[in-house]
Amino acid sequence: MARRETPEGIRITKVGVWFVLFTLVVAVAATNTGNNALYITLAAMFGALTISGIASRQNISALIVALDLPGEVFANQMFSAAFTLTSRRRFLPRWFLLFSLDGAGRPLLVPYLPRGGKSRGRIDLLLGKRGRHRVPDAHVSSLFPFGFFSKGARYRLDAEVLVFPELFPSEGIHLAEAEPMGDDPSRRIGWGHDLHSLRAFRRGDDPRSIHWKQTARTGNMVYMERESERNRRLSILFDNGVGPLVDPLAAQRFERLVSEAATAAVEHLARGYEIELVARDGRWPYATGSRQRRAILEALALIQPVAPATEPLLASDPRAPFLALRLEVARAA
Amino acid sequence: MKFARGKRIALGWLALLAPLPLPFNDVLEWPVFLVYSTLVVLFLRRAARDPERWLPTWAMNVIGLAYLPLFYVDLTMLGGGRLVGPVLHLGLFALLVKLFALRKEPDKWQAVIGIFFLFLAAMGTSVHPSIVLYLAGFVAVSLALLARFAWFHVLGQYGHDETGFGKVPLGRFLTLATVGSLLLAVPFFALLPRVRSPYIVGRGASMGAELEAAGFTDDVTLDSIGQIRNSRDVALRLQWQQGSAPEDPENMRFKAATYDLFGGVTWRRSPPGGSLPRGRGLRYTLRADPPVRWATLWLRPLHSTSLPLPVETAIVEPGVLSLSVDQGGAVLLPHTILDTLQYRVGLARQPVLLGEPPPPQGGPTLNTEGVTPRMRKLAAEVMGQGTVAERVSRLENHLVQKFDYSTTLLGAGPNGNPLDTFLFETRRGHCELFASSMVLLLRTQGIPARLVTGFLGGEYNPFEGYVIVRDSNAHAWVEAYVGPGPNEGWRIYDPTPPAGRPSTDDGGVWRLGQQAYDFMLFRWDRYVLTFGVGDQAEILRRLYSAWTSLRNLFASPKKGDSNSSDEPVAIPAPQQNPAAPTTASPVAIVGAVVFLLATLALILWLVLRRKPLTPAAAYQRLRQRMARGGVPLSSSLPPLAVRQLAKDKYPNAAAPAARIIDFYVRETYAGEPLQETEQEDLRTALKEAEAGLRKAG
Repeated sequence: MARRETPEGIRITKVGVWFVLFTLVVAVAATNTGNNALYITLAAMFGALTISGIASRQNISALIVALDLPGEVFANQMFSAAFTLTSRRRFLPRWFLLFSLDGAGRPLLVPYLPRGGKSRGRIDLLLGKRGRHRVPDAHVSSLFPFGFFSKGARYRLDAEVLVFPELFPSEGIHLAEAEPMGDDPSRRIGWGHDLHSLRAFRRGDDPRSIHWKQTARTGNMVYMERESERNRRLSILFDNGVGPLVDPLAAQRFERLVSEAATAAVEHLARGYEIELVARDGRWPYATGSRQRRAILEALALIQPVAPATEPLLASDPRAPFLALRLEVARAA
Repeated sequence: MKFARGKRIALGWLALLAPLPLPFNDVLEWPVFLVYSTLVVLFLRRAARDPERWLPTWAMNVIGLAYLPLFYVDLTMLGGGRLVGPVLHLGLFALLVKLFALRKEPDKWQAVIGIFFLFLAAMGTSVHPSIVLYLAGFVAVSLALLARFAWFHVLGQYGHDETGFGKVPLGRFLTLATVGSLLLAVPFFALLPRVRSPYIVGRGASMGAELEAAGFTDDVTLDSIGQIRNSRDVALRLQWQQGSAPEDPENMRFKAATYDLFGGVTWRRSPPGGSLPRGRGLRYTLRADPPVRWATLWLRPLHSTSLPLPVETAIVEPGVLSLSVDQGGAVLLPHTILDTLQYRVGLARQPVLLGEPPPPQGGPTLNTEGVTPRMRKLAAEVMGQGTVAERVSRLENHLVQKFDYSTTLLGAGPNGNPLDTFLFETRRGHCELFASSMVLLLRTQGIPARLVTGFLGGEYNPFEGYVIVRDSNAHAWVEAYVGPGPNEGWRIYDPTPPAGRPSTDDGGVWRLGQQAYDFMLFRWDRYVLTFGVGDQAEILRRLYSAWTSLRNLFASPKKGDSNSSDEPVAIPAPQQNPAAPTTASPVAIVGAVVFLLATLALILWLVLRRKPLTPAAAYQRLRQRMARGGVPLSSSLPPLAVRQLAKDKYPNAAAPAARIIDFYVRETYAGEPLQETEQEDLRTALKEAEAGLRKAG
């Protein structure tokens, strides 16, 4: 929430230029003739100019700006941020306020803000780059009252948003399937309802999963392993060990790969897959659901190239399909 | 983009309002104004319907060309060679045509220029205080129009229609803005620099129309009577230098003209007596003695070149290059005045404006044309024997006591001699009959005499502390030469009965109302129309005086000044307590100077302080410069890409641009504000980057 404003300068409009020109004409005529009726006109024009300056300054100052950014923001994808403008003036309303943020395509018009009142609205934003993005300031400008000058003020917000990688249409993403070995890879132990297998109870097992009927029959504690409800898996192997990217083209391709990883993760999580993300500097084990989605998106939002490495990245479940993403960097011999 | 309906209507209202004072100021003919207003009303009706079709540009040009011969005729034949009228007609015509041809957004500025031109003409030719009401109305409508333009402009950017304007409550603000603008105009008006004396275009002065002058004229025709005694119009105003009330305003006598030769019915003015010697500062001295008091007069235009002056006037400063005096001692201007004339006079204790002693044979002041035998007989009977002064007084008393005052038109009578008829048949008449009779009766007795006209008395206006002399104060009296002795010479006699002397006791609320209205007019004339450099100097002097008083408040009491309340306070003798001016202590003076300098320094610092350059501002400037150089920069282009672009396109500016972008990224993305020590580095980088970009493109 921002309360203190910093003036952002004045821009004279076409109307303002004309008014100043008219004022000059009257000033010359009055000085040249000594006609006091023209001096009265000139004085009234100066008066209007002064009132305009005072009113425009008052119009954009003493506001409280609050910004509420959405939880998920993707690069190059328009999103809406909610904002609230509160007037701290008890005596004067505000008119014709234009509210904008860094990165906002178009300022939002607040036609009228009553004295001490609030105005809520949503402003569309587009951030072009993943990662942490600060929204340092909100800008409030106005042509009020007479359109002579456009005056602006900056309100410090210090808001921060984590921008997730850009998502692409997923048609082009091909998963690499691992060689099938042993059991059906789709049947995995998990926390579903169906029985997967029975075994002897071990220390540390959940007592709620003891199969009491078999225990009574055999006389030994029998533990019941259940099948996983989501039994499809995908490992995303994102090799960020490519060293510093000096070439902008390479950096661009790197970003493209990050976006592909994010797209794959989001799409497969939506289809019920368990997703694992493996990178050089971290591993996010198989899981599903919104938490995993957020964890992977956050990881990919912040992922950066690290020191080059040659050993391949391996999925923790060798039987699961995987998506290997690696930037091929041309290196000098 | 089509021109909005609301803008047409707003411009139409302004166009209707702008020339309103012009016909009142006699610079525009009423029929022309009415035709113009009718056409503007038609335009407003059409604008309210908001039709699709308006006058095309080619038609506007054709109409403009068609007006050219009409303008020529107006200029050469109808306008009588004067430029103001034809130019105003042209302005009105051009504005009308433009209003009907408003089609596109920029067109409105041509209409605005036309309206502004008419507004200036209306203001510049106005002298009446009611112009303030017009100005207030114009300011209110203009500010509403400008606010409307601003709103349209904002809405235009968002593609909205204009219907939302009514939902934004602006009325109260516009009222406040109008009042505030006009209130702020007062100090602006007082302090805006003047380099020339106030120039006033009087009513009708620019068009050659009849001047609206006071009722006083040089003509004295005894067989007619004007309505001057019923006129409450102001002829002149007088204010004493210190603003004090005059001792006896009802007996002040302002001499304007003298008359020597009577033609039976009409008086002829005294012949010229030569020019008055001009002193330094356009000062004319009538008597060498230093004046005992000073007064300022404001004279309305008269049908005369006479300069009415209090009879005690010893020095006059009328601000004109020459003054002449007639043989009767009346002062004349070189020409009739077009508007209020302000002049200062220094007054002696005794009447001064009495002219030179008559020639040995009496000259025209003993001319007895129009005298009948029974007039001679009457004069001899009434005046009797004694000194000249006694005899003259006897005649004066006789006329005052035995005759009645009347403003009824009685004419010259059957014998064709109005004075004879007055003295022997009707025995009643107005002041000119009384004064003329006395002049001729004195002449029958060999006493030089002349008729004098001017103003007698005035009413004191307590609102501003000045004397109002109205048309109804016009009066005629007599100057008679009672002898060459040291206490003799020309003396003033007034044979009109008291009932006939200008009275000021109309009394009551009506008079008070009149005085209040005159106070407003006087203020307007005094402090607006004739406001000049001298008044500004006076304002500054008063401000300085106020500052001095304030400074004295801070002056610390002198050592030993404070006395214990128990001790008796010794009152110094007058000779021990000279009226020396109070001086502030040196500490107070130094303190005040330091305070003043500190205030000045603070103001200068606030105005001139160098605003710190932020990385965001530097980055924005860099982007602007690059965009101006032809590099396409979308708003979503991240800073590092901008850095790369700068490197590719502007190698000269690449390094400083990279420094700027580094600062920006650090501040914006990492939240590390710029250190003070890095300010200069940022400035230098921006400077170098701009230089590099300039060099490249």
